[in-house]
Amino acid sequence: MNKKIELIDVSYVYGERTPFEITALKNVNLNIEAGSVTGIIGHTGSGKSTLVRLFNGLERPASGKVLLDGVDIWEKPKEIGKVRYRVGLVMQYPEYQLFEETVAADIAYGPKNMGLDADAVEERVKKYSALVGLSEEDLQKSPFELSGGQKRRAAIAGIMAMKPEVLVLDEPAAGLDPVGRNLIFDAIEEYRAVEGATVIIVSHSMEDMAARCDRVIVMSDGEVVADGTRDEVFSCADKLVSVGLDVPEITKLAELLASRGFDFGKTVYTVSDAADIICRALSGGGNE
Amino acid sequence: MTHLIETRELCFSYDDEENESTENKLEGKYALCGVNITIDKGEFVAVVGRNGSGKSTFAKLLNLVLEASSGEVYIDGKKVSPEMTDEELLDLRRRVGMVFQNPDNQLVATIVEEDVAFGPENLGIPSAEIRERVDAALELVGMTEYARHEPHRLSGGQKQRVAIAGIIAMMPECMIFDESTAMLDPSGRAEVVDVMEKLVREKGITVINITHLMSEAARADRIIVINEGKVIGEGTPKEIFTNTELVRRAGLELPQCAALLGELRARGVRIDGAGITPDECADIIIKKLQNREEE
Repeated sequence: MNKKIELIDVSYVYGERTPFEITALKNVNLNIEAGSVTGIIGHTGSGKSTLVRLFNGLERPASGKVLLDGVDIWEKPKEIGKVRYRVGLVMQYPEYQLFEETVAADIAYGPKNMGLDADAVEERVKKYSALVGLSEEDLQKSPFELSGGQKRRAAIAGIMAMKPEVLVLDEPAAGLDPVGRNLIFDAIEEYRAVEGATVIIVSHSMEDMAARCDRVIVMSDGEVVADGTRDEVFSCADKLVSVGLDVPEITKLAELLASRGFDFGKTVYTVSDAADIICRALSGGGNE
Repeated sequence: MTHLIETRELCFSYDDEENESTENKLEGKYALCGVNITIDKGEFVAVVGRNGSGKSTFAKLLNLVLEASSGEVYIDGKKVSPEMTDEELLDLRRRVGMVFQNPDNQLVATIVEEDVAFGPENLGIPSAEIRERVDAALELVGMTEYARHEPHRLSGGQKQRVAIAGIIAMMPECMIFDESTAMLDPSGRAEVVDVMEKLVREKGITVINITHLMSEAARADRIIVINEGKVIGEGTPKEIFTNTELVRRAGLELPQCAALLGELRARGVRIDGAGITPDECADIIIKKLQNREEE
């Protein structure tokens, strides 16, 4: 595995040495493979959001190390700002953070702060606004004139415009309808393909995670309780349920059918996959 | 017979709003147009539609959070209008309670039970009765053991249940949930929908769940589908879920199992009956496979 990010024995404590001390992360060890799409799932308060804030140095671990391309990001604390350009974090409900007068100015904010010249900034605004599906017309509007889904995509374009090597998104599709959700996930996939970036997504939607991720990390009470390929993680339904999560509905159906004698022969996550296998069985291909 | 809720040719345009907040402005367009809906006492209704379809606008018109541009809303036969006296308006809001999306924006007190007492206190209920109501409401939502806790330390699902208790303590006849599970994790979502079901089945409270999650709408007795400000479909979950075309037109997605049956049908497999849950779909598919072996 080519490790893009590596966490070694990382712990994080909120309100250290106060009566409100809470350990948010306990001895977390994990690797994020370069170029992969890794999903992080876990119940509310499991430590997911704390974890993603460690990836770009927004929080500093109480103990342990965060490595980016093998280098400790806290080796030179004064240069932590550079890490934030390399690891772009899209926080929850990022549309609440839009503040400029036009969408274009908002997307330009990041690259401008990186010190790029005006032409380069403009080029990036164009490129990444198009990538997330915003029109030239949208760019001249006030962010407040956009729909909820468009605002969200504008905020994501603002992070992409800094061309981070790692794009981290905390609940990028929360509260959006299926159409809006797919637009966001398609844009993320395109960014990964075009830039060769590594993508990390935090989500509550097991269906989305199963459809979009290569690898999945499961958090519970500040610890990593499962870490593996999508198939490895979602084939442990009982374990997921025990930590307040679930498996996609179609995976549940497949398990029910298996217990009644019809085996899909593999873990299924998508409707079309399941339909293929059932149709084959019906048309006489049979199942053993 | 009088319906609990009835709307006649209900229309709403954000352009009419005096406060010209650009955020809500859908230029010259009606957010809601010509909506005729009746909801009876004790019904569990889901109102579904994509973002911007008008479903939340509809909810806000029912208890006058928004004022209709034209058309009428009747609650228990009584017309809802801005001409109502303050007393009538207060009574309307007590009878038709609302739970919103963000659990952090709805709690006002520093202790759970005080938050639940906030509504009845403002209604001038005697304190002994408030105590009873608060205890009963917390028990109903399963939060009794958290009565003395601080709301900000609760999980999202727990916070929403406290918000629900605060409304129950005002003894409403109807509760509207406006995307109340959108910000919750799967277990928080299940907690809140379980409470909705309890309100309907055990307390006879009418529940209207505004959502774009079809898996949640499946729990209701009836689903109303809204798109571009108009009602485009209405029926039981099974009726709506077998109408793949309607769901697609509304920009929604069927839960995966129902979608699988739809996909099989589209590929020419004859599927008898309708299924929504994994159990129901497993039954249908197993039967299909057995029939094939017999043929």
